[in-house]
Amino acid sequence: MAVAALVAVGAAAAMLALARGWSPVEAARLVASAGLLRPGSLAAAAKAATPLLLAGLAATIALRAGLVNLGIQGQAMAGALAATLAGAHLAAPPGLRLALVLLAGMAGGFAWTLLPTLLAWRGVPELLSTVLASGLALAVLPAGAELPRVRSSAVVGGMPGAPAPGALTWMLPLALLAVLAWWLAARFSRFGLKLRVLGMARHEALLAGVRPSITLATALFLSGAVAGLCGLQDALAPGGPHAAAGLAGGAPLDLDLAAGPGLTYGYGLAGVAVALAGRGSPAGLVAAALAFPLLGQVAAAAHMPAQAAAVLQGVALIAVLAATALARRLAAPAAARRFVSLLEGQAQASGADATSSAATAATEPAGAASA
Amino acid sequence: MLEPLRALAPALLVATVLRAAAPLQLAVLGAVISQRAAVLNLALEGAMALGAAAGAWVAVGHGPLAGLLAGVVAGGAVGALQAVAVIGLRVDQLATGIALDLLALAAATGLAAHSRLAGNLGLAAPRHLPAAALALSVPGLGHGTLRIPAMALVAGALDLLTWLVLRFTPVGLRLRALAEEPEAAERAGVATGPLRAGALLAAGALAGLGGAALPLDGAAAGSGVALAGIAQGRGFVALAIALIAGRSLLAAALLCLPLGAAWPLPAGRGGAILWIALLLALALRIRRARMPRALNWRADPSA
Repeated sequence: MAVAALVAVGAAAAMLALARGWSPVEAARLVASAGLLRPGSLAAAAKAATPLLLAGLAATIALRAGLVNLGIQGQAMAGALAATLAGAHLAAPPGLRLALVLLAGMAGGFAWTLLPTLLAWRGVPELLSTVLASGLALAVLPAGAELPRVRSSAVVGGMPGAPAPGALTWMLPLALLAVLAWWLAARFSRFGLKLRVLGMARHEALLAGVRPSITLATALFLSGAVAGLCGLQDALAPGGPHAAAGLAGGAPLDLDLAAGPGLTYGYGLAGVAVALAGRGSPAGLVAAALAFPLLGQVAAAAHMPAQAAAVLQGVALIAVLAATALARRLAAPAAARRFVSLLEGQAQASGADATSSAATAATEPAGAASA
Repeated sequence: MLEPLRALAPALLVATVLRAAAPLQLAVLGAVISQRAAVLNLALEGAMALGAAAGAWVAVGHGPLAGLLAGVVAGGAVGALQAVAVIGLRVDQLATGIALDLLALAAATGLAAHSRLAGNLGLAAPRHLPAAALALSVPGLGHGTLRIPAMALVAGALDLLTWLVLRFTPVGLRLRALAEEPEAAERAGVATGPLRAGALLAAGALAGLGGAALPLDGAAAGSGVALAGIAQGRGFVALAIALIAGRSLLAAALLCLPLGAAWPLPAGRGGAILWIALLLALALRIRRARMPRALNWRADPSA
């Protein structure tokens, strides 16, 4: 769904035109030339989009199962620390070393979802426990980055042929591959089907024999493992800031310029924002991850302050959400009719009161069901 | 020489704790009220941030009272948007909360840039609101004055008011019924839509007031954080506190005192212990707390 990017860029153009009193055509030309047409600025946007894409993918994996992972910031920090340690201490041939470092990053992010997953068994909502785990990461992990043995090592190489040295890293194709792999898995694997059914129709999933505890835990673990890769570009790439800066989480959206790396600002909100704007489709994710940094660059090219870029990003997300809500509202009657006829067919087949129980299952409190 | 000091130190500590806890207290009140309206309110953080920015912006020209009022209006605006989206348009409440957080943070960033507080409160002089002075005399310790910050009094009064409304008024009864059995409440003729919308509006306004108190009452002054980021996760921890406290407003208020005073939790071992304690308290209390049955925090995967 490149619609997301189009809407975002369109909203940016409209707001520029409004703010500066320009004609819409002129504003659109500025947007295109600042962000999309110059290879240098496109590469910069792609580099900024790489961690956002991974964060958005992590949030998407959780969302698919109906879980909200707001703790991507903490998982990214844990992954960056683990990968930095692995990069500094493992002696292996370059290819193997890269693979090990990536695995270490995923293991770090995974480890930071262990406690929230354990607590989810007791019914603690994962969106709160992951935020609190992020706070724990902020309290503990920066001290780890100060250890003398943790030093930045340029494990993740820059890509040749990029417009500027260090402008693109190998994390970009890796992130794209991860998105593709997730899409294939969600679409064609048994696990993907279980997740989808569990997220959309919990009651039916239970009837069909899906074990929610294991499936949901796997989704949260997977989400954390992907989130663990977010910080690697900053922590490990040449020319990037050193490990401590990568650990602090950077400022993925312009919003963070003011807010600073914090509890959920940083990759926490940014990841969920990209996932929401991307609507769960691979192209949508890529478009959304690109749209946020592009908006920032456009604002900079128009000599607007960074705060204006933050407002643009916020408005773009709202615009995408509103547009899709509207589209769904328009499409809903037809889909609802199909769904109802499907349910009626089932009810007749089983002779049971399946329709009403399915309807209430969607609204019943699900805290216990996550256990 | 030592006699007045000995009496002064505890009084000063009490005043500091009360002042620091008041904003968190107001956010927790917002979380409790939205819990009763069957909403896990993720937009509290955004309402706080916008309230802080609007409060600081208005207070520069018109004084701290107008600033607090601006905070209430700004937070209420966030609550109103949330009510329109969640109750009017039936958009997924978690997605709405996160989107509103981003929008409110963005707006707060923009406002903070225009505020003459220059965005950085570490540079601005803390503006303390007036405090109610109490003359105390403790036998054996001498006497001193305990200055209770005005915001702490306001927060306490709103706590009491909320308890009275929930406990003794028809509106409170309907809200409690809504939280337990929404279908039954609806069948009994409760207009759930307007009630929930009103609750969300009130929750946003309370969080906005708490947010405005952060820069205006000096609760977070001197901490060196940027104005737009001044909420520092208080909106999220308020949700956790409301869940830990369950239905007891008193427990929520008492939990706010140490956490509000310590917020933002320090880095290092002390902070780590507090974070883990919060997580474990959440895990231990979540079943016992008997939270409203209608509270449904599953996300809509298609949203």
